[in-house]
Amino acid sequence: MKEYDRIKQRMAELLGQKLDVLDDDAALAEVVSSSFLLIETIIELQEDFGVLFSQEEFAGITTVGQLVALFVRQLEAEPDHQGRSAT
Amino acid sequence: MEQNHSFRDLDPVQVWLHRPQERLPGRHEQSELARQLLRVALSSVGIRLDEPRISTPGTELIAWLRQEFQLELSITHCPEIVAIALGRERLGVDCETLGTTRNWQAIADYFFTPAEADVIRQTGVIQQEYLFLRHWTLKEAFIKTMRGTIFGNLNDLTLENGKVALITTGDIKQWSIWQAETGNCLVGLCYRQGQIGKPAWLECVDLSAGSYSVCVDLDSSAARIVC
Repeated sequence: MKEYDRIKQRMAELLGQKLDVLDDDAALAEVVSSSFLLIETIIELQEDFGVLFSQEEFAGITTVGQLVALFVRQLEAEPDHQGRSAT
Repeated sequence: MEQNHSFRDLDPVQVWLHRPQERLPGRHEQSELARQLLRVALSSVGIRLDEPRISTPGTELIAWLRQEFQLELSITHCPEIVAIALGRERLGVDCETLGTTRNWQAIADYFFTPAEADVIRQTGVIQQEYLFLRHWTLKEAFIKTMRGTIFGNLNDLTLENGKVALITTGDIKQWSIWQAETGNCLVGLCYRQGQIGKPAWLECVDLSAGSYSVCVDLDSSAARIVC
């Protein structure tokens, strides 16, 4: 499974949403019921995929696609990452 | 009791509150309720908010009030309360409902300063949520005042021993920072100290009737956070 798909699937699980709701253009504010849930999702995704972002790297991220792309870029830049979801 | 406030009564700030009879878990319902409260709040100062204006996105509404009436507005909502702050200086308000199970420590470790995260870590589990949300509502209120985001601006305001220890964007003494508790909710308020005086806390009990009363219990429990 591509990294993009794995991240999106895990995001759907954490947000309690169906995958088809998480369209790339969907605003995070629309698909997330609370800002705390979004924060927890970000923390869990970082743990799962073995990446760590500074808070500033999330500035300007407003859509599902942007968030997923951020993780994908990091994973592609660090092919030897060790996260809970590493295969 | 109904009163007609004039613009001068907005000095320094009015905070309007409404607690729905039933908990509203969805953001959409919360937002709808906030708009109804806003209509009541603005009508008290002689501003009508009808369709389609009331349905415009929040950022557009805020910009319209600022341009047309030189009014500053901040809106916040959570499952058990909606709140609106109105004034003539830059301001921000945030609310949170207690009673949710989350990994507060993990969030604090990632988003707060190390010192703040340590304070929360040293607190017992029962009080951890309360202490976390006290920090959070004040930080968010300040972020809203400065039109920042939680990603990157959350520590522009930090807390130490219950006092504001740092505001990275200017002189602390320019800011007036308050925290109030009502029912199961915490409310944080922040505004530029353009005027002397303390905020008015107004609770609207029945949105359909537009009746409101001075929220006496908040008057006594709303505490100014010392800078």
